[in-house]
Amino acid sequence: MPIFQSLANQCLHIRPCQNADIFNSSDEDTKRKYSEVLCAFLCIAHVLPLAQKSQGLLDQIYNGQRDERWQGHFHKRWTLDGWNDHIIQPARDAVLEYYKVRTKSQFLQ
Amino acid sequence: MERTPSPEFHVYSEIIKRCLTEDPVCTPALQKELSVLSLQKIYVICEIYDVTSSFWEILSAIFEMLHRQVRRNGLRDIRTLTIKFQNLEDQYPHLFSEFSAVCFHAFDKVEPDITLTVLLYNKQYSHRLQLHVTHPASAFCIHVLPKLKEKIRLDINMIVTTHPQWQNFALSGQHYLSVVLYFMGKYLYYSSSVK
Repeated sequence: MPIFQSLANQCLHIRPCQNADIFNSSDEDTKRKYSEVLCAFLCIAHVLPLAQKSQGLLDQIYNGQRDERWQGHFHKRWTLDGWNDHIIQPARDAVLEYYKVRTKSQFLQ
Repeated sequence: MERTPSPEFHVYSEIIKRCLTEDPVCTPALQKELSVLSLQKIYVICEIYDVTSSFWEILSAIFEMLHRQVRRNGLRDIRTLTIKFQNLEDQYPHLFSEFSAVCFHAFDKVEPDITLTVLLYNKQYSHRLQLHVTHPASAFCIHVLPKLKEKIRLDINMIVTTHPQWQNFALSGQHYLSVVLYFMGKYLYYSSSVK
């Protein structure tokens, strides 16, 4: 399996901190971990749309397009409820918009 | 296919080993070896053994050692220090001139060098990824390539911003893909530590 899909599949099963209340009531160590996860997410959300011109990425996505489970659930599972601030949201929208355009209609149903 | 280390590799590995020791002293013998050291050869060797990430650590160590050699002389006067650094570059011009060539080679490969690419991405976009101080994600930032010393980051930044061909470092889709994979790995790593 291409490495991108493999990593994306693993990422699907992870849900970062769900809301600000959980974050604020956590101890420092947990805050640090949540913060690092969010930071990594932010970078992915920023750079993924920029990577769309990569033939390598398109090949990896479409070679495995029969894997409906991955494409159908990518946007649904990768959420940050409670974190949709003015920075995260546009970055995430850009990612989701990219996949909405690129994903075949049957996978969106 | 079994890889047989070349004689050159052994020579370089010895130099590298000494450079990476805790507080290496730039002895005359080591100075002599450094005078013929080729960063390009080291990079090629690292490529052959699929350990290019080590190259940047080695480079970082070599540069740090050279600069430490300057500082060790107890120089406080910034003017003298600048002259000493200049001397250093004069003494090892091949190292400093090769550095940009190695960077361009690493950047232009079919599969771009991940370390250099992530550093360049960080350099070009870090200002856009800065968050409000109140944002939870800004409490603790990801340390990009934490193994690398600050010196090498500055040297790379310098190359990127001052080299006449710096425009050639424009990141392509393939580079961004490398960065995505890097941060996905980070995401998985950090997530695994969250309960």
